[in-house]
Amino acid sequence: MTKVRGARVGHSVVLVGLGNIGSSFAGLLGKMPGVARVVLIDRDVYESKNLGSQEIRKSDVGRPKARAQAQRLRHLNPDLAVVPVVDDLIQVPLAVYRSDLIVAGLDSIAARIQLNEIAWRLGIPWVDAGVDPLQNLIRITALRPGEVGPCFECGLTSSDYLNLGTLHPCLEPRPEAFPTNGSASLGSVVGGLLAIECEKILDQTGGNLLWGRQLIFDPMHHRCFVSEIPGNPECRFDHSIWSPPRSLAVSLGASLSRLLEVARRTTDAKGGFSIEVPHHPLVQAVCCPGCGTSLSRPHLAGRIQMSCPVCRSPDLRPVGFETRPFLDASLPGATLRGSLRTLGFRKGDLIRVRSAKRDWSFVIAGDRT
Amino acid sequence: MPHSPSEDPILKAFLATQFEAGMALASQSDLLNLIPFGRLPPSRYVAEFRCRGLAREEGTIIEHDFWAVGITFPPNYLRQVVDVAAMLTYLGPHPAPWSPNIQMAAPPALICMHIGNNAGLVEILNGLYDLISWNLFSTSDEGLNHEASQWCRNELTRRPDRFPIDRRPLKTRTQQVQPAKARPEGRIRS
Repeated sequence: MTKVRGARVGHSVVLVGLGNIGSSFAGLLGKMPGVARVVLIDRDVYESKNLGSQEIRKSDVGRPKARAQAQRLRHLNPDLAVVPVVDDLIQVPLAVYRSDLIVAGLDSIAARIQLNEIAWRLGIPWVDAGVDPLQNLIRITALRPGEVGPCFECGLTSSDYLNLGTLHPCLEPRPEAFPTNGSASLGSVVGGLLAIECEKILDQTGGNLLWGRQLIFDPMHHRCFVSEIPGNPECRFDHSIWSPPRSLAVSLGASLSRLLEVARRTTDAKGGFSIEVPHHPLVQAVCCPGCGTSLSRPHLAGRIQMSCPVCRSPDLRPVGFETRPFLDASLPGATLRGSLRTLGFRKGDLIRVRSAKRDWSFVIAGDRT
Repeated sequence: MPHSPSEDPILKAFLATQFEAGMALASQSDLLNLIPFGRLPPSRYVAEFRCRGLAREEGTIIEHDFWAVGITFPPNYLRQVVDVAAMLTYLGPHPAPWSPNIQMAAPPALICMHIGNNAGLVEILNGLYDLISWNLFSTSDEGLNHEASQWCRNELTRRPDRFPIDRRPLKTRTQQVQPAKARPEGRIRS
């Protein structure tokens, strides 16, 4: 349960993906009793082609999905605390995901793998929904973090991983997920089923909970199936859950060396130690695939937008061999003196402090607002 | 999610296997020197290829015989989209490598090669050798060096037997044989 300033005490839910499924579910989430706070995450904007299949108005075309749905929820329920986040799910500081439940209406396996890991590390249960518009099928899966599983990756095969694809520097900058093209009615049905499952999970008011199981609904033939998802001993994900992170009082204006110093004092780590920012290795140089220009610009991967100073291409790629997964005192002096903000750190970023004997988790408190 | 190879037991086991296989290949090759970086099992290597490839100097395409490539296995390698730019880096020493799949730029430069999910170090090393030695090359303009693509299309028309530049297999080991001094076993009876 979450106590929200200025609102009633209630549950906090994070909704990732605001397309066909997410936009239908969002309205029901806004009316759900017991929910006090909703975080909406989506990097995209609504297009005119979405009018026929997603819960939006014409005036929402061109607007970021998260902001459009946030406005809608505030109209539906003025007491609800709504936080829109317009960003890729992997770029969002991990502290933003801290909630009672994460709900996903995503459009790719790669995104689901990322969200599954986020949920597991933070120990937050999550519900995944999907549609198959060709066969008019609906799928809902509920997963609860545990060492044994099952997790989302437990159900993946080698073919699934192969089909994730490869990002080539000579081709388009991002592998785009194929649009689901689910109908509005299909989205509404899955949104409704999602809402019922979420109410059961949050309020535990009865009915079977779907943990570790998958519900498939076939509205065309009026059939419904529930199947167990077995834990996979060969799962490529290690299933470990991190201990709840503590807040680390450090300003984003502080230097990286200051962060290392605070981390060392707070953990009392003896000897060598390093810091990892999950999802964001330190990129020390980038290269332009177009003209070959390379730049030295230390930053956390994905956090700083740059253009090539020679050909103006926005598609700069990190130089892999000079990218470091860990930050420590051996980094160049200029990098250590750089402020956390210029390196791409954000308030709410989760960091892992690693020593030879143990690890700690912290959340960057950032500047007071 | 980036994750310490040493903390992820699945990736750690994979990297250990790759280390053994990669060093075994290097020990069986005159053309490859493989240098691991970091604590075991390593996730980064420099692969030095002592083979004939092509470079460009003052507008002329010449043969060159030493190439260094950085290979990095990112922490999410087995479980996410493979990002070739994050894995392969041309490290020189020649400032103008000539290949459709290698940026003709001073190092560090990009290399474009297909790497499937779960591809091992030996597969990557063989692929790099094929690119550098022109055993494998793109003739379309999809690569990083369109000028080299056009050049090789012209060369194929002019000299169909031009490629590969180095025909030796990567697993080439020269045996040093010292002939023993002959010793008379017996007389030939006349």
